[in-house]
Amino acid sequence: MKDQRLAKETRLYTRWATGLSLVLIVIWPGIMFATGYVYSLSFFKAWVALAFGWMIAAAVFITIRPLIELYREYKR
Amino acid sequence: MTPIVGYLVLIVFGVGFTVITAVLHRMAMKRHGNEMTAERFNTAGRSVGVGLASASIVAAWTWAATIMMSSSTGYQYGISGPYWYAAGATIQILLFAIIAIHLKQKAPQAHTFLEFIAQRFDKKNHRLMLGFALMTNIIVTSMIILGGAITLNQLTGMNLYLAAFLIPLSFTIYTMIGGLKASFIADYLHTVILFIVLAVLGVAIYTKFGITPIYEGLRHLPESKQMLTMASIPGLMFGVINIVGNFGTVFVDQAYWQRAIASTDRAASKAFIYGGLAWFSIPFAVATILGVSAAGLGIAVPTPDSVAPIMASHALGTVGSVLFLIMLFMAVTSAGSAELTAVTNILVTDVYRHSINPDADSKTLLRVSRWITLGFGIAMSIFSILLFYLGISLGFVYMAMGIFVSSAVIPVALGLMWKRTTNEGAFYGTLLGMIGGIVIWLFSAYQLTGLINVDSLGQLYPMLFGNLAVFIVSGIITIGHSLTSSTEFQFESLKGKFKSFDEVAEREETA
Repeated sequence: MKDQRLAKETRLYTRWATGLSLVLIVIWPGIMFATGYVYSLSFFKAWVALAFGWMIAAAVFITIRPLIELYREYKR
Repeated sequence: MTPIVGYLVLIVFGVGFTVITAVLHRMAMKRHGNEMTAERFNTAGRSVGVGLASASIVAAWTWAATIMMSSSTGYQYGISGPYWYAAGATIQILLFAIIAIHLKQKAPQAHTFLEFIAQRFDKKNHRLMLGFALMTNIIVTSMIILGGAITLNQLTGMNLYLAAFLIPLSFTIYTMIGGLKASFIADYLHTVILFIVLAVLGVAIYTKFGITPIYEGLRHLPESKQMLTMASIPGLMFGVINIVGNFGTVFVDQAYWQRAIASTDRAASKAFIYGGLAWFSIPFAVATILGVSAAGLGIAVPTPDSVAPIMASHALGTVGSVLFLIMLFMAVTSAGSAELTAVTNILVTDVYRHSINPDADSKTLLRVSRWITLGFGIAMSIFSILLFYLGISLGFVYMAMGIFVSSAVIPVALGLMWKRTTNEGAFYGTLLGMIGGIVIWLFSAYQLTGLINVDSLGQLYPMLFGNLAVFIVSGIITIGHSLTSSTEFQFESLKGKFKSFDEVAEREETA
């Protein structure tokens, strides 16, 4: 049972890890490099918002998730 | 800022975290009603969930360089710098999710990746990889401590040697008390504080100066074409080196294996995916907020490497400087404690228990673990000071490190994932990969400049060729030899080969 689940998860996480890596270092920068796009003001604003928003999302996840786990552990 | 501010930050946070983690440790012990054991000290009970594991992965991978050097790339290359810094060092963490799940499948009871290597391969591989692992940890730890000490010295003028001594001390004590779990809890608190400071700096800069003036400033720079596009050749070159050079620092560093080992089966891989995506935002945001903005506002800096603290103080004055100092200290100490627990685990598992005292009981192992933690913490502060005396530049070590450690990446990863990987392939792949990389590095530096010295070796192309050669040579030898041989390793044979640190004591109780 456990081995079966782990084997299934191996396929799942291999896909996620390689997929996200490809997006981050090939697809996303590749498209932007190939088009040679020079940022307009509104695109620059969106880029800054992306950097800032991503950071806030990461901060919320990193702060809240361990507290939820701690609470669950405490209730048990 | 005066040196007093530096000492205050070091002492207040150092003592503060030691007290907090010690109290939390006591509370956890009381509630569970159980004693600390060697197994728990070194693996955190293999019970860490996704959230805490992700936070500790982020903390371990956030160095002083993540803040200082990423901002420098934003200042120099514009938009593409922060992106390549972040993406180029995120994919190793993401890909480690694959390693984590294979480890959970094949050797769920292992304590270190070297313990796995010892069972999977023969003795000579274990010795060689042990050398690589310790080399990685020692170089990384000294980079973390030196990087922190130099920055504290530049920002506040506090004594460099004293800073290099106090930084490891601040995390050695709580790690010695509570082991890996205490280190995880401190990592969590450090990461939260780092995110808060970063958010404050971001809000301050964009509300005070506005995004439009920054954009206009970037457009009117002489090198504006490169600043506002991802289509930047220097940015891309930096990106490629960053990607290749960072593999060794993750895959051969026990600190990341340890995070997989400490997590539950279900959490291990997920934590690396979430941790990687969360970490991406740190250099991406820091460098965009501090580096790119500084370039757009036309702020003059003595060297690009010092742009981050200058921008912070430009935005918020002394408050900004102090906040920046706190953020930097958080990054340095949590990464340092991750390395410290990694070395402790390696020395206890693969040196003490493997070669010196194989029958040691839990109590002895716990005592040895604590002494090693203390000893290595002190040894590293002395070693960092020594490195500084020798005048070895940090940027140089950061760039060259991949050439020295990355040759173990392919053999170790394949050993875990591919049953046909052979002893000889892994051993000679690792050894000759490193030698080949160094030869190509020296040779290309000589070909390009006619000289072999720190300057010519530190240039972009020799570094790139050296790093690539390491992977090509080690990959070809490892895979090539494994394909010619028909031996297959049975991973099932590993079952029961990894003994818990507490097992000897348990056996005595039942007898």
